[in-house]
Amino acid sequence: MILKSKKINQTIKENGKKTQKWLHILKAFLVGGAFGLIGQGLYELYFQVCQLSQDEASLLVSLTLVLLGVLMTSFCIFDNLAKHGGAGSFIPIVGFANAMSSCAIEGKSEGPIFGVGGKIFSLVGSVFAYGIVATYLCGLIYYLWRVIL
Amino acid sequence: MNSQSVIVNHVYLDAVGIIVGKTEKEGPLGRYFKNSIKDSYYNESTFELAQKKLSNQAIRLALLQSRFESKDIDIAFGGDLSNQIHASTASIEQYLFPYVGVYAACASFNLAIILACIYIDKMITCNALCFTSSHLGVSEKQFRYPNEYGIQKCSTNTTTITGGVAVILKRHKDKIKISSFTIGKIVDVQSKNVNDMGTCMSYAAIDTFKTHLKNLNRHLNDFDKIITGDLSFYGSQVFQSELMKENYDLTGKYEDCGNLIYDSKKQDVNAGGSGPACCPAVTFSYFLNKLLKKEYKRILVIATGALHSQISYQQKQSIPCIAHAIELEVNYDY
Repeated sequence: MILKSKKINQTIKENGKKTQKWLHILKAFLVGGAFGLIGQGLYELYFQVCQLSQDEASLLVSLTLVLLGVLMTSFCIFDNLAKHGGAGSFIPIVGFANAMSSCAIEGKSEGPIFGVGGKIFSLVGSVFAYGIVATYLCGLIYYLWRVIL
Repeated sequence: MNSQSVIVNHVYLDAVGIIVGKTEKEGPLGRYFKNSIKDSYYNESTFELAQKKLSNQAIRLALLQSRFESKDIDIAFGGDLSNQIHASTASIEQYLFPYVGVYAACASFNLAIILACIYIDKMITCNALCFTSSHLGVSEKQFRYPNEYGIQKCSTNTTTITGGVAVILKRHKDKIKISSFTIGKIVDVQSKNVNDMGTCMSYAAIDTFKTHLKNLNRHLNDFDKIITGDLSFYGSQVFQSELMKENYDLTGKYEDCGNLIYDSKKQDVNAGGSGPACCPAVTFSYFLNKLLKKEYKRILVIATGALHSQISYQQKQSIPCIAHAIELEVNYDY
């Protein structure tokens, strides 16, 4: 039996509306900002204290944040943080690390090949695929721009 | 003869076995759940094995309470949410009784009871075992995201309960009787939103409710409580308001098992509980207790299920919903 009415869809739409929008935005800002602050702190540490070059320091910052994300996922901290953080926690690189490691943890019971190896990219696979396509297109446009001018 | 709603005369409740998880034990109905597990892995290596063990343990508890032994059980009906209802099938591998696997998502248990009623009432068997189980970790992995993935849930999302329920029905007279049932039809409101299944399912529940009353000439006052399975906070509001428009005033007469099992203010469960074990775990503990104390004489239990699959949802197909109803009453002759 198909029940089609605009009112039902309206109800479902209204139920899904987020309340306390500004609180969500504030929380996301604070969590995202905190990760940014940690990143900057690490950068200063590597650049000023450890006397590394700018490039090396920024690379190490990303790597350290990825490690932090994986550790937080493994100790069941990240999902509880993300409940409040929302986009503030999944947009930074720690969120990317969480998406990969959570899939790997989930796939562990299905073995190293089809489980961990096969499932690790199930959420972030599209980021890689479209990321590569986008960089390729950007590179092509840049190249053509240089040739024409 | 009406094939959708059927009156049964000789089906009685023999024994109940319920085991729940930690969050459910800590919920408002905690004192009604005698058996619970502390760790969601239940001393196993995966959530899937834990669910199998929950199902198995529920059957064992029911058999302990029952006067039947496992070799006396004539037939078993079981189902759950895991892929190809594997948890149910695997959980009874040690037993010798014939088994029928059923699937109606969160209404699986009511469907199992309905089939058992037919078997017992038509004198095909003397008794039947119905069982189900659900596990938060298994459902999250299968229908949503990895358990550790950090994502904000919608306020309309429900939380699958962790637990197992088994019930043994028999032909011999006892205190609680199953007096009739209604098999629901598929109701599709053309919604594609898997984050708000409660609202979609409420229309199936409304249809089954009205069909049951109409076909069996029942009146709303014949029931002490109308119970739905897992319509969530939002779906139960729709259920009440839509029926109000048709002059069924459910004020004080209606409860939703998913809303009862958790305290949504204190516990982090969003819009309430769901899962195949949710409805029977509350019905056969909290409401059964009320029936045994004779506070209620007759209740109508409507379990609802959203019959989508992971693929159908990704292909943006709408969610077909179903609701099966069973009527429980106190047997005053006993």
